[in-house]
Amino acid sequence: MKDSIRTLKENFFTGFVFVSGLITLGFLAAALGLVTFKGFRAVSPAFLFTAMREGGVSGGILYQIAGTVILALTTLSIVLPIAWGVALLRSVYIPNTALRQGLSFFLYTLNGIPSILFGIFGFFLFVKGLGWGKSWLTGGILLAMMILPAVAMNLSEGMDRIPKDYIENARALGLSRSQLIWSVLAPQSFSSFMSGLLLGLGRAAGETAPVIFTATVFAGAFIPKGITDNPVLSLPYHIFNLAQESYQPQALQNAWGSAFVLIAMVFFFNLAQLPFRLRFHEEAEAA
Amino acid sequence: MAISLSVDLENFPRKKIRPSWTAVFSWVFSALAFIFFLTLAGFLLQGSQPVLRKEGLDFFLGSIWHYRVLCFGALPMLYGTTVVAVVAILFAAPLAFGSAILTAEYLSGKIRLLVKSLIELLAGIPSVVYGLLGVIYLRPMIFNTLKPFHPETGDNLLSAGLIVGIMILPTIMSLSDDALRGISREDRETALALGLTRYEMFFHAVLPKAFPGLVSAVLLGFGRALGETIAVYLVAGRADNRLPQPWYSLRPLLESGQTLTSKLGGSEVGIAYGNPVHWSAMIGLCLLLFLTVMVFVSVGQGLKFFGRDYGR
Amino acid sequence: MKNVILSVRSLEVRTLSRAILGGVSFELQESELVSVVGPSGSGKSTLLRALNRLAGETPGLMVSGEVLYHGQNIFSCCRVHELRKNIGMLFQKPCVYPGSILRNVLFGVKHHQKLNAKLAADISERSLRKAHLWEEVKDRLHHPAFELSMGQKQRLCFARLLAVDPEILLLDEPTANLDPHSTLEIEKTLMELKDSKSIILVTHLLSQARRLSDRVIMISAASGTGIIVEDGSAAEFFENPKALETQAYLKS
Repeated sequence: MKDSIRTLKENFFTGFVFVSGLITLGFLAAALGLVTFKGFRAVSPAFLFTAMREGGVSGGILYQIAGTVILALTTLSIVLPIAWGVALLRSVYIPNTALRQGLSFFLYTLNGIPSILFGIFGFFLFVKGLGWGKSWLTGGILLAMMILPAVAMNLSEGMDRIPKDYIENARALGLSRSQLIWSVLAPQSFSSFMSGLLLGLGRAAGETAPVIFTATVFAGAFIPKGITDNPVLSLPYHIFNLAQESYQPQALQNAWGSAFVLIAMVFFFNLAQLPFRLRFHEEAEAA
Repeated sequence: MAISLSVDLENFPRKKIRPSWTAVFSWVFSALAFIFFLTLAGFLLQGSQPVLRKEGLDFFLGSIWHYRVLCFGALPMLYGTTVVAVVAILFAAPLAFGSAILTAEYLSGKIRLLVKSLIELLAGIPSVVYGLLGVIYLRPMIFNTLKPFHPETGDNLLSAGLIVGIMILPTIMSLSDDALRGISREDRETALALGLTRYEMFFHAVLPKAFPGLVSAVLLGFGRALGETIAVYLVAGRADNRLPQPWYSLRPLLESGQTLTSKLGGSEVGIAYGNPVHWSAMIGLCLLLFLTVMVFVSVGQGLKFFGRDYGR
Repeated sequence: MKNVILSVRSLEVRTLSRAILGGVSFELQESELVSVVGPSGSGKSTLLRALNRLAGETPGLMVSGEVLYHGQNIFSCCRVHELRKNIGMLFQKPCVYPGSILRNVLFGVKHHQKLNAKLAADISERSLRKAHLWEEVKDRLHHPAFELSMGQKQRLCFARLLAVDPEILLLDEPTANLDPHSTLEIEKTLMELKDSKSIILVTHLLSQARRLSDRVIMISAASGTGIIVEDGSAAEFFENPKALETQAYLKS
């Protein structure tokens, strides 16, 4: 093949690759830039700390933020024990057989379930079936189950990455399986756990579909006082509604401000997990 | 100091071992999760029975969905879902591959990690924010740019496809990057040492081995695109019963449409609960969505597992 | 005539495709040090790992035969982590956990009994002294264990094992990668422990075997499966070996 053609192909290839990267980063810059630019102007202490007025057109997003935080905390409390349980099951209690492979595959695929299905199932089971009406607890349960596969797999894979030395030595010293779990597996996989958990919570905080039928309303909710018939407001749902009234400039302004705050919250989670993720890279290299 | 031997062995032999609290805890909580997902599956299968018995195959192939007369044909929604996902993939895959090749082949060390983390940030943006951006910016942009083609509105399947494309772009990129990084350095260096250009090395030494991983990335991205609800809801227009005339026409791209997810995200869900058949129809849509997504996700996941051994 | 503590009978370890160790039988008496020597790959480590049931925890390995500990078969008598309080192992590569030196020394024993501060201090000092490490670390017990040199880490692991105070010690080439000073200290410890413990030492250093052992067992896998080719007192082994393989090995 002529060298000039080879060089041409090479250059096209390199060009394509760099251009793709630039375009992709460009999308990121555009998305973040637009939200920041538009949203920053709407954000003020009043905006953050006042309740909504006039159906979202004016006032602030205090209770939307509160509702999102409540949902996130509920999700956290529910997913924590279950993710540990599932992860321990996969890494410790189920031996290295087809069953374990099946469980891994199962968890990975569960991760792909569209979030709206959780919402509709939750509507059927909790809102109507159990008669709870809309409840923040339902939202927390559904969001927890949605992020469970990812959090559990992250943790379990973190445990699998622990150098076999640590485990063998502990076993040779006479540690029982549960002692091994608490003294070696848990501390050594902590960074994987935190990384997966924070990413999961970031995702849960930004989700709309699981909560629209089950946990959130657009207006009229504040801090829940009980479980049943106690919905909350949430930032994503707020934006979802305002986006449908975007012809109203004030509502649009509010939407940008809310989007900015929401992205800030989500990015807080995403960035908070970085030190954990980097740490387990370091541990792996040091070992 | 040592545990006295006689104490040890006096209590044994005993085959019956009491499980530790940790084990009990793990099994119990795992059971909770298992029950939840089992119930979900049951809900989908059981709940869709009535409408499937009433409509039979027409549920999937019928082209009219009119709940007031209890007529439930999901074909237009299947079509909408497919079109949106295909547009998304066609848009996202080349860009994702290019970006992945960039980070896997051309960059290294800290800058690679930086670029990859930035692109993964894109994945962290909530879908409702993408929806908002789509409504405010993409919709009018599509409408104005494609004016010569007489779009019905900016709320169309093309807009939905593009916004979903941007959403799945980081996912496909990240998975592809992982797949490419899985190829050992020796494979690359052997090719380069033989005098191949970077481009040739990629196509002849890296790509064949990374192929399953890349296909897997596309399938998983496609699965995600099929399941995206909020952003699609906001820009797809949500007009029922739109099918292309003739079947290969691209007209629907510029017209409003309905996908499985946009229907399921809407107010009809609440209305449906009042009528058993209508409600069953909604569950039927859920089942359809579930099966469609799961096919792609499980094949994609399976390829990933298979691809891990393939590259060795 | 000393008591027999461990009686190995027809111990076999195999994978699906081959037998690593075949039909191994020997006895361990109290207060004796037995060296296990042989060419690399002959199955010495596998033998050791079978004796504390670690081989059974490795996926893909199947263990058969009997190992009687004080007359009870270790594979059926008791829960494995109870057994290991009495049969302990030191690995070739020192494995130190994140945390202080003190934390590492106590890592095993604190899971077996409740330790108050005084007991903890006593046990750690005693174990570190036995391992000949006390003088070097007594002023920095709360420093991270990672800071120690390789030889010090191995002695720390030894101290950790001694804190658990098992009756039988299984040592898998413990000085293989160590500096001469640490090797010497560990051998000193072994000599001092001989009277109170029973020790099986896998080593490829024949000089070490000669220095320390009461008895020597040689394992060879010339036939494809590891078997015992020589089992006798140290004196007999080095002066008057019976098997051809032993003679060849000693010459090499």
